[in-house]
Amino acid sequence: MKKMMVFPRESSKSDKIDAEDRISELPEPIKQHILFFMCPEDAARTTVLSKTWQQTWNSLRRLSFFSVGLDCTKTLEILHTEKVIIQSFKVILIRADASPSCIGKWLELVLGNYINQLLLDIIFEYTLPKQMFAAKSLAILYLRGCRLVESFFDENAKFTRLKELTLDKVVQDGNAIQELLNRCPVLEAFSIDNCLNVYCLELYNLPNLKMAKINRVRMFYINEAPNLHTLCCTAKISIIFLLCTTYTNLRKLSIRIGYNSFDVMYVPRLNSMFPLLETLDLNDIRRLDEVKISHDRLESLSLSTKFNTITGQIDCKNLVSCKYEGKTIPSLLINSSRLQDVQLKLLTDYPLDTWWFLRLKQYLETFKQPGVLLNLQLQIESSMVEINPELLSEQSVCPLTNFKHLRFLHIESSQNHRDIIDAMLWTIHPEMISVKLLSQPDSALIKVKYFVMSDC
Amino acid sequence: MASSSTSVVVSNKEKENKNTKKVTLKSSDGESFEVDESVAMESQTIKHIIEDGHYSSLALSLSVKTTMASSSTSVVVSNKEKENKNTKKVTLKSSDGESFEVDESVAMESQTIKHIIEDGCANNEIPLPNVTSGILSRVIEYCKKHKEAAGESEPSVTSYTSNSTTNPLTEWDTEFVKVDQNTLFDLILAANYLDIKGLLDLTCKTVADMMKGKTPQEIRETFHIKNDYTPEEEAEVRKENQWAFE
Repeated sequence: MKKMMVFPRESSKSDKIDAEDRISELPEPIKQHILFFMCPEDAARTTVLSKTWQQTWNSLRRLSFFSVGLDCTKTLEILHTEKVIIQSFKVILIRADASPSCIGKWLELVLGNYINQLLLDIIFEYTLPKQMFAAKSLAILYLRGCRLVESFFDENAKFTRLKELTLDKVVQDGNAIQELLNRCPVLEAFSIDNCLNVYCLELYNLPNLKMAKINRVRMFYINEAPNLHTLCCTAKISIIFLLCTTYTNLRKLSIRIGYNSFDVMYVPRLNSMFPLLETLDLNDIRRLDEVKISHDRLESLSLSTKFNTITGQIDCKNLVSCKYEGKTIPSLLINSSRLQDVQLKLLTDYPLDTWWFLRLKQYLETFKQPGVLLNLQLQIESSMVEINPELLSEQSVCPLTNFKHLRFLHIESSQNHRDIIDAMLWTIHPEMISVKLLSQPDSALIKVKYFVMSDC
Repeated sequence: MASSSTSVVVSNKEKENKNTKKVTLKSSDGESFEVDESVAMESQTIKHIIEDGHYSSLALSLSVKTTMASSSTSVVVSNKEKENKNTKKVTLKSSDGESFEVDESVAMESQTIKHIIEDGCANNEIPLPNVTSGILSRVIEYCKKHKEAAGESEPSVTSYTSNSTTNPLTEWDTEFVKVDQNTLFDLILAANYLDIKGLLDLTCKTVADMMKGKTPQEIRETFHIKNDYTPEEEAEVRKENQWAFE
C-alpha cells in the first residue's frame, strides 16, 4: 500500500513523550467529520483501527433516497456536509426532464459515500460515468435505460460486493455487459432483458450464482455453476451448457430457444447433467418431433409449441404436474404414479368436427392415475365447427369426471356456442365451467346443462 | 494608500507660529495633522484656500490620492476609512488569562462569539475558558486572514470539499496547518467550540489526509491508537468491510 505523508510533522518533544491517543478522544461528530473528507474505502477501513472507530462508523446516519422524475438536488444537500451510509439510492426518470449533467452531479455526491443499492431507471441513454465502477460497496445494482462503456472498466477493478445485478434496456459500447459480468465474483442473482445487440453472453467463474434470467440474447454459454438454482433463458440462436458438467444444484430450468438443439443435446442427458431438476419448462418448441423425457426427480413439466404436434413419452416417476400448450391434441404418454395436476391449453384455428372431440376425449382418458385432476383451456378460433350430436352420443359412453375446470377462453363468435359446449359435455363433466359469453346468457342453456350433469 | 474621498478642514494657525508658518490639516474623521505651510502648499487646492484667506473653518471635500510628499517632510494624510464606522473591537480572553483585542468583524467569524455579541452579553471581554492563548492567537490569525480575503459582508465561506477550487488561500492554509499533532487537535477542538466552519473543515481535512493511503497499523502508529481488538475480532471486522480492503 502506498504511504502518503502529506505534511511533514514538526517533531516536538510533546509528540514523543506524550503518546496520547488524542484522535480517538475527539467528540464523535468531529470524528465523523474527519470521515467526511475520506473516500468510502478509506473511511470504512477505519473500523479496524479500534472499537471506538468502529463505533464512529456505525453511528453514521443511514439514509435512503428515492426520487421519481424530480430534481433531487435538494434532498441530496445533506451529502454536501455529512458522511452517511446510503442504504439505497433510487432514481426513476420517466421523462427526459433532468439533464445528464444533473444526474452526474447526484452520482458524484452519492458515490462519495458507502452505498449499498443503486437503482437508475432512466428513459434515455445516460452514459454511466467511470466513477461508478469504483463503487466497491455496491451490493445491489439495477440499471434501466443506461449506457455502459467498455473502456471505463479497469483491468483490476471488481465489484467485490455485488450480489444482485439487473440490466434492462441497457445499451452497451463494445462488450461492456460481458466486461461487467466478468467483474462480479460474488454475484448471486443476474437478470438481463431487452438489451440490444447482446450477441453472446457467457456465464463463467460465478461460483455463487444462484439465479439467472437471461432474455433476448443471441447465444448464451454457461460453464460451471455449482450453485445455480434457477435458470430462465430465451436465446434467439442457442444455449450452450458445458456437456460434461453436472449442474448439481439446478432445480428449475426454463428455456425458450429459436433454433435450438436442446432436444438433441441435452434432453437425452437430463438425468446426468441436471440430477436435482424439479421443474422443466420447454417453451416454443419448434423442432421437437418425438419427445423422450426421462428424469428421476422431475416434479413439474411444461411443454409448449406453436407449430408442431408433440408426440412422445414422459418417464418421470415423480412428476406431479404437467402442462401442455399447443394447437393440436398431443400424443404424450405420461408415466408417473404421482401425477395429480394436468393442464392442457389448446388453441384451435382449424376446422373442428365430431371426431376431434372424440379424439380429445380419448386422449384425456389416458390419464388414469388415481386422484389426477384435469384442467382444460380451449381457445376456439376455428371458423368451421361441425358437430353431429347423434354420433357423439353414440360414441361417447361415459363422460370423464376427474375434471376440475373447463374453461373456454374464447369461442369464435360465428360459431354456435351451445353446440360446442354441448359437445364438450358429452365428453367430460367438469366441476366448473367458465365461458366468456359475448351475448346474454341463455337461461335455457343453463337449465339444460344442469340436467345433464345431475343425470350421471 | 488609496481612498475615495476625504474631507479636509484647513485651519489657519498662522498666528501661533512665527518662524515656520504651520497649518493644521484635519481629516474627516477628526484626526489633525500639523504641517509646515510650505509643505501644505504643495497642494494647489490648499494653496488657494490659504491665499484666499477664507479658511478659518472651511471644510472642503477633496479627492486625495496617495501620499503628499515633499523634499524633506512627507505628509501623510492617512486614509482612515477602514477605521471609520466599524472599528469596533472586542477583547477575547484565553483560558490562561491573556487578552486579545480584535476587530469585531474578525471575531464574528466564530459563530459562538457572534451569538454572544448579538445577545448583548459581551461587556468588556469575552472569556474563552476552553482555549489557551497559544491556540487562540492562531485562531485569530486564521480568522483575520480569511476575513480579509472574503471582504466586508459575510463570514468567510471557504470550501474544503475535494473538488472545490474556490479557496484562494490554499497555500496559506497549507502552511497554517503545518503544526504538530497536539496543536492540530487543539485547533480542531477550538474550531468546534468557537464554531468556525472553515477552520474546522481545514483541520479535519488535514487529519483525513494524514490517514489516507496508510495501512491500519500505520495509522495506529501515527496517532498512537491502541488496538483493542482480539485477532479474531479484528478479522471479523475486516471481513464485514472486506470490499474496502481489496
